[in-house]
Amino acid sequence: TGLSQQVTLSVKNVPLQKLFKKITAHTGVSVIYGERVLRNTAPVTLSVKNASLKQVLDLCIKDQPLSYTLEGNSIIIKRRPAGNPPEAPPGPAADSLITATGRVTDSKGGPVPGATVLVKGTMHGTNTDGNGHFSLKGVRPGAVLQVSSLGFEPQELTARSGAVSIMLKESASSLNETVVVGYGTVKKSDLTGAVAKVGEEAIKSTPIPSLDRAMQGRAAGVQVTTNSARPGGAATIRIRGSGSVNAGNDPLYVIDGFPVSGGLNSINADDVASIEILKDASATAIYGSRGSNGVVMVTTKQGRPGKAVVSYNGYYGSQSARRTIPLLNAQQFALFVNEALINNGAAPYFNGSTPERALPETFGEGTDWQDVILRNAPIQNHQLGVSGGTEKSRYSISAGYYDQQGIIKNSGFKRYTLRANLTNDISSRVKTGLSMQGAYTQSNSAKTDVDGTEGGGVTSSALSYSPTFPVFNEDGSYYKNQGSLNGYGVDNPLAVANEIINKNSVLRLLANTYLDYEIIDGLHFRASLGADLQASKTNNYTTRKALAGASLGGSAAVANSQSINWLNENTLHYTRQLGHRHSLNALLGYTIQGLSTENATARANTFSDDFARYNNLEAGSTLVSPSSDASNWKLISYIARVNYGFDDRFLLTLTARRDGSSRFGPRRKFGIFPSGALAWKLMNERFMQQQSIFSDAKVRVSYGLSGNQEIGDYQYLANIAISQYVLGGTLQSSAHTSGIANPDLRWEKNAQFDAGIDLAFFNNRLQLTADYYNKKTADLLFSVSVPTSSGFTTTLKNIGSVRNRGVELALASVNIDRRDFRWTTDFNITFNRNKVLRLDGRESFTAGADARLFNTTINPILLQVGSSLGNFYGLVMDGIFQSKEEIDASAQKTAKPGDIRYKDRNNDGVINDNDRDIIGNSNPDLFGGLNNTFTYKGIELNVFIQGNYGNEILNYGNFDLLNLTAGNNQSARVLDRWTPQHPSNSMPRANAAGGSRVLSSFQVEDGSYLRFKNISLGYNLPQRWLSRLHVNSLKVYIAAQNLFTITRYNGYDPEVNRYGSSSLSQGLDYGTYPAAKTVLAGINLKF
Amino acid sequence: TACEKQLDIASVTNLTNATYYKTAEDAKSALGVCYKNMGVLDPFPDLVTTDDAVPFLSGAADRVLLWRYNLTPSNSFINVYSGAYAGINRSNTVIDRLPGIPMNEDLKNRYIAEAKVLRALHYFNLVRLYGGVPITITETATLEGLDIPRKSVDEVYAQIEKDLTEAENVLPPSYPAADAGRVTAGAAKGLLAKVYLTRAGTDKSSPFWARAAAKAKEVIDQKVYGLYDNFADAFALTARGGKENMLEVQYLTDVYGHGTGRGYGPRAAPIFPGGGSAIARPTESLFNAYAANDKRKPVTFMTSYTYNGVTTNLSITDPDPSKAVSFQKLWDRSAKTNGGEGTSRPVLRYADVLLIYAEAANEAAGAPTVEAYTALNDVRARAGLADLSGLSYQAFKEAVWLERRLELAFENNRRFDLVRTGRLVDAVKAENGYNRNAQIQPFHVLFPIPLSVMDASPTLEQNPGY
Repeated sequence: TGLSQQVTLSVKNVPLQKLFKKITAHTGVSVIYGERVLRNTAPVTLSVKNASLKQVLDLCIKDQPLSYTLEGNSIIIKRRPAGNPPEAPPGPAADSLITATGRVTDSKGGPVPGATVLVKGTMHGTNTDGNGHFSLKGVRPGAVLQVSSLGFEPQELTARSGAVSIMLKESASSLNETVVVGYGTVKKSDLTGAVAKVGEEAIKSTPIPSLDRAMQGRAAGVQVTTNSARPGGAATIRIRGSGSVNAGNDPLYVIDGFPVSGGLNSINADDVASIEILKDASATAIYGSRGSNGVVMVTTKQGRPGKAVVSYNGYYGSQSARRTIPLLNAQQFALFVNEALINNGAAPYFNGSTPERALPETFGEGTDWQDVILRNAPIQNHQLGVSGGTEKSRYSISAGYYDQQGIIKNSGFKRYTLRANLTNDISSRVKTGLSMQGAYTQSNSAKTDVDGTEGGGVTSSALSYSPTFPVFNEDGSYYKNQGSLNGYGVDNPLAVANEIINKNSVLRLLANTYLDYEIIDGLHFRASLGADLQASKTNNYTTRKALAGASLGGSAAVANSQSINWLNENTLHYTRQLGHRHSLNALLGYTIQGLSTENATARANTFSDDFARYNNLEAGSTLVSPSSDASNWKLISYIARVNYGFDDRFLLTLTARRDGSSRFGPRRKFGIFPSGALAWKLMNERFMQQQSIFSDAKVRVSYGLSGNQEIGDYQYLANIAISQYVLGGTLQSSAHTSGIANPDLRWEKNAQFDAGIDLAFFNNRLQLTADYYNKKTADLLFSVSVPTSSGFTTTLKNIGSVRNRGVELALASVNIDRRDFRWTTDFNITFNRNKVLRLDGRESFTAGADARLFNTTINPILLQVGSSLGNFYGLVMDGIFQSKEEIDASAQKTAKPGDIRYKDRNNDGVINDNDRDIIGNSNPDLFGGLNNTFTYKGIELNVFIQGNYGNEILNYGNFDLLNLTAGNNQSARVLDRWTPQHPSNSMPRANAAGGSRVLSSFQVEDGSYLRFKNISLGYNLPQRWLSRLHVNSLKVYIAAQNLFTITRYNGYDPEVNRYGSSSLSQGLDYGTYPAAKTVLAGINLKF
Repeated sequence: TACEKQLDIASVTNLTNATYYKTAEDAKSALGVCYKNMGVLDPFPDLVTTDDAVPFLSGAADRVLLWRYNLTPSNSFINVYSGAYAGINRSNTVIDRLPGIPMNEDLKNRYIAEAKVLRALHYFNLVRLYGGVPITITETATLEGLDIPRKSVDEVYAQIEKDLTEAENVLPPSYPAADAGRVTAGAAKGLLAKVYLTRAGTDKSSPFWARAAAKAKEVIDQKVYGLYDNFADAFALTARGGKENMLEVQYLTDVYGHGTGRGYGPRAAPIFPGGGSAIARPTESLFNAYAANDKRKPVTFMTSYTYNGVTTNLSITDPDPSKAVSFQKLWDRSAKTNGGEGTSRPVLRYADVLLIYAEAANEAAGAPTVEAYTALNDVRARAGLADLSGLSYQAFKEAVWLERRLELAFENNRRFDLVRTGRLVDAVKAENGYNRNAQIQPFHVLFPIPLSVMDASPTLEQNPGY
């Protein structure tokens, strides 16, 4: 080893830089030199066989202004003072020289691997290892050492013997950080498109069950709404608004380069190094037909060369319901029921005739059904990882376990993950790598977010079941009552929670491997092959103790599904500096992706007992028809991109992708999605060098097209649907055409203009990114109503357009930066305005899913040209009738005092559908997040606030809780109901004959909120304690999530979306899973 | 190119209509779906828009609004429209496509005739519920030219009569057991008799009375159809394709079923898989209209049930829906799955044809004829009731009306009969149990064109009053 090891090498006219790389490749000895050291050196031609390394090096620097020294296993090349002869190779260190050793940490005490330690004014230096340790021989005592690393502010210290500890401060400037974009990375300062980044720190700071939540409040332009607070539940993500009406509005997720479909909750957030959100067309057009809703790039953690770092992160906490809805207690309810019946001319129910119908006064609090079904539930997460490697091969391996019990009994979510990222340099030109994530998730879902027709979910039944009912009968069985107090015929809520079992497990393997070959300098060919394999199984069983299973003798269903999503990508990537003013970066590629899914469901009823549940279907004496399905999809794409930079002042990006998708008609399979962007780095202009206010300034503009193909497979064809019918007493097959063929079906086209500015002030203490965008989606994939007399109700057409435009602001500032105390703030806010420009020819029509409450079809959403998507449409409540005179003068002649008065908008003397108006909108006027971090010595306090303003929620729960009939329990708000003695103008009278489910502004509520999403207090234990324990860093923390929420919303939580990411039906709430607040404690440990 | 070929991925689960409709087997399946679509009428709107039933009141919503005649085009229970036109288009497919399929010509012509009768049935339901409606008699193949205006009532009836008369001459009088349930010549004639009866309306001098009587007589004279001795047998599982069921939607227990029994069963009654839903209960006026010895009464209504040895008695007056006398006419007691009931849902029954004949003959002759008495008394005799005789024209007419209500209860006839005979408004106003206070007006004899239908067709005009 060392300088004596033998080398065989033959090169002709190569630059030193390359030659040193070769030497490293041959010998494993790294060659270290500063940026300017090799300037003006001559290319070298040499041919040696079994020469010593020393001989080779001497040949290399012959006639060059260079010298070298050997430090450990590294050769340090430095500049030789002009005129001096080449120095002799280093001999043994002189007695006067010392070895400087120490450890470089970040402000939290974590190691900084790969930091450069340099003797000032020389090229003598070294790098820190994986644990931040360094050792530099041959240093003159008193010399100044410079310590620097990317993302940190450099520091200097005086060399002395003995280990020193150096803490580097995170650099306020993130301009040098690398940002992942489609098919590549780019320095943030060289970005031409609108890209938001959520870094590891932000991802780590809040314990999150699923990756999509990491973006909430952290990235401008990205709206994240939790659909259901159930463990493992999904969220709706909207990047720069909703552009589509019937096709999907969800962004494309790309995990380590692999575009995946769905299933984000199987990705362990602890494994993620960064999330980049591509927003404008310049950034998304490289994903062509899938880019119009934005692209989310997820990058997992990679190993770094150096000693192995073992880390453990874990937390344990407790969750409880953030809020329960105040309801009537038993006595209040009994009084209310009697009043409602009397008001309808009937006899009171609670008349003392039987124990169940005791007089109201005899009841107390009764049963609090929410309390019966809810619990405090533990949450825990553990992650063990090891990473490290050599210069040539690096690894990062981790295992994770996440267990979140649900706050509704018998619900929860578990995740087991295993991840390995491996990279290896086969030679200096050939690299290969594997990124692999395996996950197993198990969710046990409570029956929530049901439709009204399903006989009540856990929460909807808990809210409606009478408080006068006991939980159990005397024999221990569930108390059931299907009488008139149970107007919806719901089951005992605890029985719904315990006896209806819905378990889902998903086994997932996401693996992607690549080979990168540098054909000539700067030209890389990269081929990758990957697959996202998912298999899921859903087990359902309803026992005979639940109403739904009682008369069936138990009901079981088992569903299996599997999907294979494979991808092959082949790209050529060329980077070249032409002279010192022109830089060029080009990409050319061909990719092909396919997805095939299959699923099957088997069912059976009537079991002799509930023992085997779903595990023994053949024991069911009633077999129910099985079902199965399969589909295939394929996408073939050609991609091209050119980045051209001039003088580090102007940057130009041109992108195009040509996609061919199996989803479209024969003449419309292929589409081209081009984009262009221009950036001007103002800061590098001469006139900017004179001032000191701005430390960075850049202007960007971009324009381009992207597409949307999320309509499902085979939609352009008039498929034959096969179904069953009975004739002659036997089952037969029937066939019909299920739609009208549309061979012209093609992509939605999204044209987006973006203008943005990136500014930094006061030496990067304050950074601002602002963007204006105008995004127009045309050729909407629209499920158009067709005249019913055709025999069809809807068909898919490319018609209509929607515009989203808005302004995004993101601010990052270092407010205070003293020696021990530091306060930083990140703030972002988005104002998006959505407008329907054109529909299918109609000016307006109603659509959307309601909660199908007991067969009411409401179509609560109005789509109207010139208005925004997400309009709630219904009658306008205009107070409460107070007198007969008011009624006689109104359009509701049969009303009684105390009934709701509706606005007769067209003044025709009747209240009907023609009097409907827009009574709310699910789109917020603005949304954003504010993150404050305070550090004092090792103590760190983080407060993260996030919110929406100006959106409404259609609270279907009000149909039940404020129906004021005697058929179910009511919100405590009905205590304020109208009576002759208490003439309310907002809450109608009790009336057993009421309950017509008229959708009106009565059910619409303000959905604005401001939420303290996360407050955490951590302490990084001092190094002097840790070194004794052989621990590199240890942080302990406590955190509280959802601790406070400021909102006027009366449902469980303003963050709700009954129909998930459905394009039309946003902002609806019915029977949802209550949101939890969580208090937890955790540690982060590194060896 | 080869690369583009890779993108031609057809469904592995469904054929497309470009490759279908080529063989006799395809033809059979295409006609099959027409049979499946036949039963677009749900008993619910018929029951609660007349004097026969009261909806479950706490469940509220559109059901109660319909019952109270607070009726708007968005009410979800009046949308027979889309189902009927789906059926019409599927019949049109058979009628358009079959001539191009190489197959036995007789069978082909029969299939087409069957499709015509089923198409006529849909138009008959539409014209009675909504008045004049758009007429389409060719398969919908493209997205162009679909918005067509409403035609007059007479034009719709002309199309119905054309289809039925063309078909009655092609169809066989009966089928072997394997095809039992297909449309026969008798069914076409019976339906035509009902069409004529409806067209006669309240006009005593209408020529349609004689035509209705004549068509009904043709069915009677065919002697293919008859009454079961036992009323319950007409609704039993064994009656599928039986001698009394001229048109019916067939089901198969626990394999392809309906939930009609459960839907109208006492609330949460455990005798039904999934429990009873009590979506509507019979009115006292209907229940009490049956004589105590009427054998149809216990078949039509459930007055008690026994589960696990415990008997629950039901009452016509108890407001508790779990204790209410319930409809059980179409209940399949052998079903083990929720919605798995396999009894047929009748569309046209021989008893109906007998009563059509009795009514039409009385009107045509101006007085009850011997044959009219025979037809009416045949129906009464099976119910265990004494023969009627010596009635005036008016008394006989009212006797037939009452018999229709009792015999055909729960079979989607009450509303049509009340509208046809001009009695709907009075009958609804007279039925005021549970504070119904129905806001019925003369225009309510027609339902509104459903809002979703109006939205999709700008050229359609709404019915007056809505």
